[in-house]
Amino acid sequence: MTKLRERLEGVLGSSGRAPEQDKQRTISQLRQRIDELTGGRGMVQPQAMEPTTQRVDIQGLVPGRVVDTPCGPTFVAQYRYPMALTHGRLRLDRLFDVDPAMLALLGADPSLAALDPRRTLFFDTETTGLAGGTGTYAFLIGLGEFEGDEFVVTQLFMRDLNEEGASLHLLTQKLERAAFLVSFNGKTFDAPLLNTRLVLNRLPASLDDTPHLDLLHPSRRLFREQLPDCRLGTLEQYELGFERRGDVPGSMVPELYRSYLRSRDGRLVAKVFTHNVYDVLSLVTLTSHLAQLVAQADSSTLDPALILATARLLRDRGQIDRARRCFNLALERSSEADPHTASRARLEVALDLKRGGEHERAAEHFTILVDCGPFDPLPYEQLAIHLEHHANDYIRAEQLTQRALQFLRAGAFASRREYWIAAFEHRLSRLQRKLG
Amino acid sequence: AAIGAPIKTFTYDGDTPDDARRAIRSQGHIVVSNPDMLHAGVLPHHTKWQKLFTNLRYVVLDELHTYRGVFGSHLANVLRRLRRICKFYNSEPTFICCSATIANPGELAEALIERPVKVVDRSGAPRSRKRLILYNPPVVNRELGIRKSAVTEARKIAANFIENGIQTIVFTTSRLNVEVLTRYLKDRFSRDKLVPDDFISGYRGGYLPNLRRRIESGLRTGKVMGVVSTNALELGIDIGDLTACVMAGYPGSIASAWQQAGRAGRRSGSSCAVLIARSNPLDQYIVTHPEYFFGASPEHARINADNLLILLSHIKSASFELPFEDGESFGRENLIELLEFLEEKSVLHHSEGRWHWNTDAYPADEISLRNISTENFVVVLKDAQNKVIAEVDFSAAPTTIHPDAIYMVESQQYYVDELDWERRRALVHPVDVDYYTDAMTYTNVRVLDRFDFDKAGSEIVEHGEVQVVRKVVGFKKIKFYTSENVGFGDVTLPDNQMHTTSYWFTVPQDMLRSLGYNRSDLIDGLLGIGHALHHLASVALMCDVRDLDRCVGDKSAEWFVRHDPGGRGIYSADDAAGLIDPERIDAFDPTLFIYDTYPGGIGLSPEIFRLHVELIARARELIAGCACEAGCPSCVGPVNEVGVKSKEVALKILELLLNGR
Repeated sequence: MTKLRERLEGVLGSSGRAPEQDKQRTISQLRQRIDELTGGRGMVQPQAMEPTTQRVDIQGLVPGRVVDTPCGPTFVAQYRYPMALTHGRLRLDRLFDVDPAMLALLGADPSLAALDPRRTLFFDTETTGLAGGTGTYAFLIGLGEFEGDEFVVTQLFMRDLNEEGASLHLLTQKLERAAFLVSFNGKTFDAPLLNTRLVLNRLPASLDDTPHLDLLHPSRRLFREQLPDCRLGTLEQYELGFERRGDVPGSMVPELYRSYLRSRDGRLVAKVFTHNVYDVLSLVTLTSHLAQLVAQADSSTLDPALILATARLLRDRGQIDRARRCFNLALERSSEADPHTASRARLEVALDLKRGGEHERAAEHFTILVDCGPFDPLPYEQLAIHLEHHANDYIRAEQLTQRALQFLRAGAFASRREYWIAAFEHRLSRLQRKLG
Repeated sequence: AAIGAPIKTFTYDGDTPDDARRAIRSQGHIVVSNPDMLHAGVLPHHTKWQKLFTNLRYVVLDELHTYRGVFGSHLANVLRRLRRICKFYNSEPTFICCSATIANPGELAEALIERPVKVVDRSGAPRSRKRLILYNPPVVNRELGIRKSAVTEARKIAANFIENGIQTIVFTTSRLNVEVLTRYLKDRFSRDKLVPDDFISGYRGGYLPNLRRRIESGLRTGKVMGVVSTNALELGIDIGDLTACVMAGYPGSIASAWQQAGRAGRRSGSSCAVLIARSNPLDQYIVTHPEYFFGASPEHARINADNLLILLSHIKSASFELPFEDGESFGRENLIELLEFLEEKSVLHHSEGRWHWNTDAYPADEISLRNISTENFVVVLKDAQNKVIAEVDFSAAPTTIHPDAIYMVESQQYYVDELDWERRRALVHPVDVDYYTDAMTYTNVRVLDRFDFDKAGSEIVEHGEVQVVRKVVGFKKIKFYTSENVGFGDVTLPDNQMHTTSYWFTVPQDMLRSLGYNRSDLIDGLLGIGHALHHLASVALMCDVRDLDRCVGDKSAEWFVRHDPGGRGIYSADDAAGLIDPERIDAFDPTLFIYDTYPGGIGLSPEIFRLHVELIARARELIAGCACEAGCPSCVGPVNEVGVKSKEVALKILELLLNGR
């Protein structure tokens, strides 16, 4: 042992532990941290991941080859599918039938209205972690494009971390040709990460200058209340009808790659390629699926809750007329079977009527909500406003305000309760003044 | 920016909202931040700051003197990382450092930025007349050497100023004292006349930002006439010019004392600052040596940027920010060996001459710049939802949260039911008892390596690397107010081992024999010298008293002095062997160790080694000049800890050492 090493062990062992324990502790802490970051999903035991010290070249395991670039060699895998491939319930080329104006609505970005599938790059990365910052590498970059009558997924894989420059060099070539980007959580995660990697490798490119449709945000808006979560795998299962086979959970990916770096056993990461291809294919069908939903929500036989969610998205994007039709449709179709959705749809319909100056009709809906629905302070407030300012019925307005306060004080409504109590108290004192 | 274009200045810290951050990163001409933010928020995301780093011309380090000890050692490494990132973006900024008066500003700056610096040390600021009054409260218990409490005296003096319409700031040395004094002063003034509630205000870390801003503006407008603060108001914050400053206790360094005093009367008019001394040796030394205060600064700020633990954590952060390349250097240790060590621990991955970060962790989160240990204990409330009520430093855990200890948070007492060492947590429940606990520890020190020695005098002075074993053996229960000892308890916890650096000196036994005392008395004398030297060293090195610790024992680690319920005695380093009769020890060459309390050391002990003769002389002066009869907290320590002869013997030994020079 060298002198420096002895000192290292000396100071690191200084918290009253043997160095060996220390080492194990460090490793188990790392695992724990991975677990925490990934919510502990699908974490495999470290032993299970390192069954071998055998070197197995990745080249024999996935369809690809080593490509030379001015920045050195790197490994590139390629998967070619007919455009008509059915992935889950949907065909990839269905995207060509989609009205891109819907994509602009979904992404809240007018420039997406010109989206041309043939000039669009669908991308997803596999990384060494989720910690963010400059210490996370995108070791596998999956890029999907329509080419002729095919859909091609190209994967840039770093066989070792020193192949990053080459991998990114190939990425910049793809980026130069792309007029649009589509990803799932890419705006928050993959694009900033790749931008960081480009800067670190002194490559003058950025993903920020290309119109980018990130499907996570609209998916959340549409499905948040109906699905257990909004991960891509969950959307595939419930919305796209795709069942993954031979896949690895995303949370295991960083550890698998690290094991691969130590052992050079390509078998450890072969399944990550499949995982990534599935992700890229699902981007395509999810895009057309979401666009279809938004296009047809006001004439569909969809689940009323989904119609309602779509309507809200349309309203926030300024599509007032279509939003109104959807709110009414959601209310119509949910009345009996789904009282929760019905109340929420009714509230939207009522607020819309009020905005249009139809106070009497709005008040009818608010009255139903007050009389039948579960307690919600908003319709109480709206009805009280109507009674006070339009119907001039101070007595009923006062009674209503008292009732709302009773509910609130009894703890009936948790969100922003103090705000509501203060608002109703203020209203009450004004009404009582008016009543003398 | 072009001439005439606006210069955009932004603050970037933990309170900066996310959307503002983006604008600052791309537009800031001047960004004002702090070391913690640079360490955890900026450097690990340097690619987002590409524009700033590419164009960076100047880095200004204000209040340089605060970057000393552990914090300074961390900062030096953060600056190493900063320069490395600047180099990546081809910029080479000039560093401008500003410091309060210390003895070695140039040396400190060079240690921090590792570049030659030019010192500018003449002040051009206008000065007006200022009175500095050093006040030593009267002795109330001569036997125990206890003086009237500085807090009580501060209350009277501050009240007197405020009554006469003089806006006053009071500095205390703890958050608790801020609360106590604020209460006292508020009571005093609400009694007299109708004054607004914020006429007197407290101010400390932990108050919400809004409240702090309100108090600061009240001070500027004169609405707040009296403020009681910790050192939180010592630096930076604009509170206008106050007229009087009262310091309830010496703030720990002369530089701090001057800054606190400077809060009164910055520009014009006459002003006054009162420093009230407490009973400890530090305060007593300062208050009896005004020349020390007004002469050239004796305070040396020290750092050790190559402390292994600190260096290693920053090598991790630096690897995260930019892979190291073979042949690169970082610090003065062998970088390759450290990188290999990290690769072995699966933190890094070496590939074609570059060392890549290879774990899914954010290393900056794992270290705090203001501390050295990454492993804190949490204090958990046993019932309820297992709520965490506090965190305790690894090194403080054995003495503060051992089983049966009383642990206090915001003056609420908690009883420690269990200390779960493996899971780093203590389980507690609230209690209301009339005592607190004080842990009894024993320490032994073993020399691992001697770096240097000095045999010019009759004693042998050395410094080097040591192993310190610290063990909590029990605790005392001490009653509030009366400080009576009302019971004892045993504690069984693992030993706390640490490698660190130490200074020590050994007095040969034939020399000691000439003094004509028995061995127990000689040991007591050395314990007394240890008490005085420990405190004086912290004055000279500008460090907290807790940054150092001491131990009297034998250099070959055969025996040590330790305190037990029955009193102090000499014990074998081998725990089982128990108490030893000092008269039966063969090689009796007692050694006093004063060591860095941080693993690996932060550069304090070589300095004490260098200052040995000076410190010995000051210790004699302090002890000889103390008015107590046989020892008190101001000189050799309380009699019940060091014995009745300690003061007498300590002086004899010190004279012996000084005459031998």
